[in-house]
Amino acid sequence: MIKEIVLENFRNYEEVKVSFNEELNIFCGQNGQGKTNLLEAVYFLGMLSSFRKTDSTQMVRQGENSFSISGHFEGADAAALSIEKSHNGWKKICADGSNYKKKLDYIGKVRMVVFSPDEMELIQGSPEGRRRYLDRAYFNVYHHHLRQLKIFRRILKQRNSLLKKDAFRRQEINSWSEKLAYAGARVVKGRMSMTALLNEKLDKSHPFIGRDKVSLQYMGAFNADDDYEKIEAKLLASLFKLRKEEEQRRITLAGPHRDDIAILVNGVIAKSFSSRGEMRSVLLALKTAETEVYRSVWGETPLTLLDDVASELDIERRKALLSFLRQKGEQVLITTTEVENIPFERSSKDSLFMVSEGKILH
Amino acid sequence: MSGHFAKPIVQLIRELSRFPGIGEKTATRLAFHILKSPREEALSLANSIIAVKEQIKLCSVCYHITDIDPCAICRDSHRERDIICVVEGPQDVASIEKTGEFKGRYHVLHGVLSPMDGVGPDDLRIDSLVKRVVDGDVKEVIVATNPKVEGETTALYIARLLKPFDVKVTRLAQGLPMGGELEYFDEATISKALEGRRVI
Ligand SMILES: Nc1ncnc2c1ncn2[C@@H]1O[C@H](COP(=O)(O)OP(=O)(O)OP(=O)(O)O)[C@@H](O)[C@H]1O
Ligand SMILES: [Mg+2]
Ligand SMILES: [Zn+2]
Repeated sequence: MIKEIVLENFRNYEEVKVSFNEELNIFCGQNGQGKTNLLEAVYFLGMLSSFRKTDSTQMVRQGENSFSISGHFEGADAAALSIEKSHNGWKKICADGSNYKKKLDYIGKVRMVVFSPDEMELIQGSPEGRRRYLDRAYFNVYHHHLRQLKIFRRILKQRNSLLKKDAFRRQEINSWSEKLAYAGARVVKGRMSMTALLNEKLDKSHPFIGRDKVSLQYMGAFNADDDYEKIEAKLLASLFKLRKEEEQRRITLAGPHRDDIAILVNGVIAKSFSSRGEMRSVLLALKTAETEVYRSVWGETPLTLLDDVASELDIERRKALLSFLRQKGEQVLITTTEVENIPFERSSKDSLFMVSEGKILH
Repeated sequence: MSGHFAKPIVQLIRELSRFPGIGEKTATRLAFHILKSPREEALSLANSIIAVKEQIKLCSVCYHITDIDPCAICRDSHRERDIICVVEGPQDVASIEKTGEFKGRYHVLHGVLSPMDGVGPDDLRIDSLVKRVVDGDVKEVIVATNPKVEGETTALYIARLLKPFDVKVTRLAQGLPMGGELEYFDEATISKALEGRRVI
């Protein structure tokens, strides 16, 4: 649970401090006032990256050199997080008084689930977005996953560099292939594990999502019960088979960097869905499943960030979603342009904040 | 800022700031230190730099840096002939020697495979390693390259090349943290890794 956050020169905030309540925290304000910026800051403090698709250099408030974010947490892997970043790069990454040099060692101390309009990309966008989603999600379950991904990417980069050359020794490319298959198998297996975890939760679908059955399918030449060795062998075989083509196109043609994750609704790929409302429901199903995965893995409820759900979900679904989260005693940060959009009954565990031109009033 | 100084000092600052980890500020400080130091000291420094370039060569057997050829380690008859430890650079020889744990000989690759930096097998002393194994009576090759992606792949490459020959190829145990540099590990860590090496 997040108790408090302090922002300095972050986006349109000069200096602001927010003390959060235990359950529902509603941030209400007109367009362009800084609502999403606040959620972004919370996420950024935990993950050192944004859920928005923007260049992080713009995060520094116009006319300033650096921004800082610090926060206090309860029940997370760290009680105090504090970061500072300038136009030139990181100045401080600190958790509970220790400074971190490597981002990978720092991130993930606070588990969060984000629901934002940008996430529609998951369904409509490229496979890359879906791979990223799954990698992030699995990272929350198994921190080592991102390390393995990083190793895989490095090998991929090296192997692609080699393929760009006009000549190389057979044994040299073979060694990189072996390494790629080994690291790739770990990435694939991780993603398939996350797919399975999510599917398990998606099976028990929630009434507010609708009657449609949502499921995920990892699209690669693998079976759900393939072990590391099996996946590795399949990857290596594909690389071997594609050798000629790879040498022509000078790029690695098999591996987890080319896989996709299909989102199925009643067995059909959701991409072909026409109704935006339906897509939102699918996204909601995914996100609630994600929440439940973390809950069962960690025995703790993740922090939920809901950006602009009012524009995305009808009133019935909003009600149902909030009561679902409430029932579990989840801490939720939610943004809206009009407070009537959020069906809530005032309680001592809820707070309403007004956001206006970079100021937040309780 | 160095533009305000006389030419020789500007030149020295420029030379010094080429060293790894030395910026212009540190280089300026060093240059002034040299300027202020006694003549003999400065000359001694200059001579050491010349000596290192003129007298140090690579051992024709193991490619370690040396002033005599073959190097002291290769000459030492007490050291085992049938076990070779392959390292990336001369500093790694020093790190392993410090442990006193290893009684065999070395082979210095002078780098690791890294296509993106344009380093391939022909840029490393790999063929000469194979020749040593084929010609000599080598029973074990320990590949002690760094546990990074490039070091691991180089180790694998070497293991595959040596496969046809009757030699055991081992890798240092994973006591070494992933992504680390051998040079920076303490002796105890390297000793433990040496003890627990595994076959590739
Ligand atoms: N680096 C920056 N410096 C100053 N202002 C910034 C910076 N980055 C973004 N902003 C401002 O922040 C505002 C956008 O804030 P935000 O996206 O949080 O709005 P919002 O309240 O979520 O609005 P909406 O309801 O439209 O989603 C814009 O006015 C934008 O100009
Ligand atoms: Mg917004
Ligand atoms: Zn020698």
